[in-house]
Amino acid sequence: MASFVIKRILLAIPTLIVLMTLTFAIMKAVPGGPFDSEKALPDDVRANLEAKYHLDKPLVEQYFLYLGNLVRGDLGPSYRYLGTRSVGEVIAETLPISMILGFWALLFAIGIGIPLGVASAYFRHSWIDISAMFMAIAGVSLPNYLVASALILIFSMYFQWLPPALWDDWTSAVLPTITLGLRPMALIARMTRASMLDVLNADYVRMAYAKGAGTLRVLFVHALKNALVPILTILGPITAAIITGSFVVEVIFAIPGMGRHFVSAVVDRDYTLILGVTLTYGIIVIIANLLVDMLYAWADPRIRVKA
Amino acid sequence: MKAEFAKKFLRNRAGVAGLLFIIFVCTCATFAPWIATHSYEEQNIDQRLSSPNAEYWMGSDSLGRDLYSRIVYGARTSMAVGIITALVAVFIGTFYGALSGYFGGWVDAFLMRVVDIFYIFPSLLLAILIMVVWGQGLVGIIAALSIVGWVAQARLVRGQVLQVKEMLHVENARALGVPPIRLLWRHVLPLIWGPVIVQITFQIPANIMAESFLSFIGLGIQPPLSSWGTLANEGWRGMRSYPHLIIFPGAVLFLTMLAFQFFGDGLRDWLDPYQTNK
Repeated sequence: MASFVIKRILLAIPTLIVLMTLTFAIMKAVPGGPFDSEKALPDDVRANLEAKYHLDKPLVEQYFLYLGNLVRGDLGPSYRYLGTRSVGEVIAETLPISMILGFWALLFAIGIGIPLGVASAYFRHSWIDISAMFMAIAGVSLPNYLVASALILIFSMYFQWLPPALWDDWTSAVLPTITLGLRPMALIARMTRASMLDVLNADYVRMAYAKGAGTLRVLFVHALKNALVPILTILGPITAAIITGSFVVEVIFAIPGMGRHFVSAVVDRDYTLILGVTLTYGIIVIIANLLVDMLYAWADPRIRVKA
Repeated sequence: MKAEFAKKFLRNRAGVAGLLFIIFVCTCATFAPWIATHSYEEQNIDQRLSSPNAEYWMGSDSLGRDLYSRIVYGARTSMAVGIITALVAVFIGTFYGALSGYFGGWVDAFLMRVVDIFYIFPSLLLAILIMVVWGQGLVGIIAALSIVGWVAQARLVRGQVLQVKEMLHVENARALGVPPIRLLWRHVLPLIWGPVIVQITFQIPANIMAESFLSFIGLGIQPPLSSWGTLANEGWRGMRSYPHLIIFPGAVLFLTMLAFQFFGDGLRDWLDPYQTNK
């Protein structure tokens, strides 16, 4: 297992370099620079600024300067927060918020989605199954801003139980978590149902019943563990979906996370911040995929981890 | 044979309902000038923010524009973006995946490595980056979603081609000296159209949804042009006092997504029986 993990980490490095090069190329292909504003800067001020941030150097040199700094863990200055915060600081400040939100959303998706799918498979073709699966299809089809509006209208405006925006105590996390987690929850529920249906008629499930294990134990211990592999397969894409979903949710609920900063960095052409955030997302997705692969091996020992 | 197939699809009532709704939306989009009651940019300042009534069926927005007409015209933008980008993505992906699967060896290894890199990039993130280059608005969004969408298609087609190219009739054709492109086109691809078509019916709603997200956060379609996402964005700002502004565009988008979901599921059961329940 250890050699597998090390190999995967080594493989991730060229991938990240390609990712960084692509993003760098895209950023440099963009018309307009970070020092373009409504009011044009005097030429000498502008030249000084560009010299200070090496924007006057040839592209290849800029690229290697950036790569060199990157290896040392320096993501450069954020043009938008010039002089006050570096890209590293902005990310260090906003990433934990996005991670917490994403973590709760994932927990919500798994915690509700799996039991819902199991119940649906166990009571198949009953009203429980039909209503659960209708909810799941609706969850996949609902745009998350609509979910957010409905939740805010009901719980913040009408009942006034939960705050409609910002990020303070746990009450402010409830609505964003549900908004972000609903779609993944629906996907997991559908996948769990399909996968459990394949497993429920298997011999070892009948055997477990025969030896007198309780229904819940059979379902969640014997059957679910074997039904888990297809569910794990979609956890990778779901993690990516939660990351991108969080842009929209952070904008809607005015949460000061990394997604919202990414959107404003794009509008402001804050190249270094865009690059830094993109690389951070790349690393998160790589780690998530690695964890999913390790979970596979745990769920199904027949899958030999290829090291 | 064909009639029997059609009958089998018609038996799936949810699928047929979905198809009918999609046809309805496409008709509205195509004949928007005749179906809308107002122009999408006609402003009527003394009728601002009215609730749904006989004149404005779904109410009017903060500039006194008719919401119903804007939704009908928005269907044009949203459906066009969804369909064009899905077709482009599927076209690129099929070509790419077919080459990769057919030639195998180092070509395959290289092409799939590129796909892997694209794969770790969350697609909405990449779409936003591409739109930074191309500029926001209709063309930018079409370019971005087309470039992003082909990766999954390429993987799917590659897998299918790997299976089909081992079949006897392909080997026969190769032995007879049929050139590779013709071989792919005539003997391999016809066997995998089923999954490809199913993929299109799932790609279209995914892209409509992506467009509406991008427009919602202000990076997509720019006003006065309307799409369901821009309408939801405008509705969002006035939601507290005028919930109809977000409910109508949101509901239309929701119903369309639902229709595609049912239609896609029905089509998959029909064209691609092995994939059912997976």
